[in-house]
Amino acid sequence: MLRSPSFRRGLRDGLVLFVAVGAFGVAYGILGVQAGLATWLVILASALVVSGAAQFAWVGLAGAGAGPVLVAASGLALRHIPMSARLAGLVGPRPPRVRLALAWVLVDETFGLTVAAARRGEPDLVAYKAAADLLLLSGWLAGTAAGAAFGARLDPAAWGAEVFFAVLFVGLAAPLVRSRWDLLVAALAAGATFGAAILPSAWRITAAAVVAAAVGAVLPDD
Amino acid sequence: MTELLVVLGMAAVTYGCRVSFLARAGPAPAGRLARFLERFPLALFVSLAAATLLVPGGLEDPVPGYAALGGAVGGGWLTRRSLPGVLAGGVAAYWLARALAG
Repeated sequence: MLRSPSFRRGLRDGLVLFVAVGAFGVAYGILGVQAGLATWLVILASALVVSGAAQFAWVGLAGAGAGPVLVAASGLALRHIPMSARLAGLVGPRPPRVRLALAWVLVDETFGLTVAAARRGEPDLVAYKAAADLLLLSGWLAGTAAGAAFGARLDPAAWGAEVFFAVLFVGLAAPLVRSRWDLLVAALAAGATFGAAILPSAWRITAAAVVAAAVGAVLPDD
Repeated sequence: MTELLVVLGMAAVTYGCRVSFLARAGPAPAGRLARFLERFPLALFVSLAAATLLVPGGLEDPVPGYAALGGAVGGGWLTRRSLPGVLAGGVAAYWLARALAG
């Protein structure tokens, strides 16, 4: 797998994720230690959970107990179910160990790259995603460790870490717009995000995306 | 100890959702479910971006966020929607807007 052209293309495309997710990892590490969490625990969460949104929710609710954190994490994790279904359809029949490994770093960013790669006709999506996952996870862990190490002296809002990440999602959405109907789905998703402001914050993204995609399911392809 | 259990719980919930369809090798979804799954990524990424850049309260000062969105769209347009182009345009516009705002 390591010598496959798809793996190399995954490394090439994943490089930008290493930088962007690494920067966000620094922000998470800083906020984690500033919230009073142990450095080793902040890093362990990045290795096991691999979900920026859930981990930021945990940091924000540090000390509130398991209940609120797990409710928030569940709301945020629900969006991974349709992602899991989509990825399963893209990679087709694979050995169970490959499928279980693909699920570990099934995150928004590498999922987006993999969907775009599938549309381009990438021959080995497993190798491609594995390479992108490797770079994303490396950046996330390195960023977390750096942020946790220097956390007491830095302010992530001062350098706009959250904007950097939001722009990354614009970049992941861009290649998925291929028709005017896709543009309509994008507009619906933006509008639904405004409407979802009445929901608890952990559920807004998932609810808005599900509503927009559900409308998109009855729209034509072209 | 409590926080360690919270981390393990978060990991279990998150991985459980991620592996839900990958764990079983069934037939690919068809019909409207397939179309829903086809359009879900786009809806998800737009929603994730909008929550920070467009929805009130996403950023302390929304103007640099709007500039970042405009710069990202412009960068994407100029570079045929490449990810580095979108990122460069968005981040440059964000920093420019912050500098102009003082």
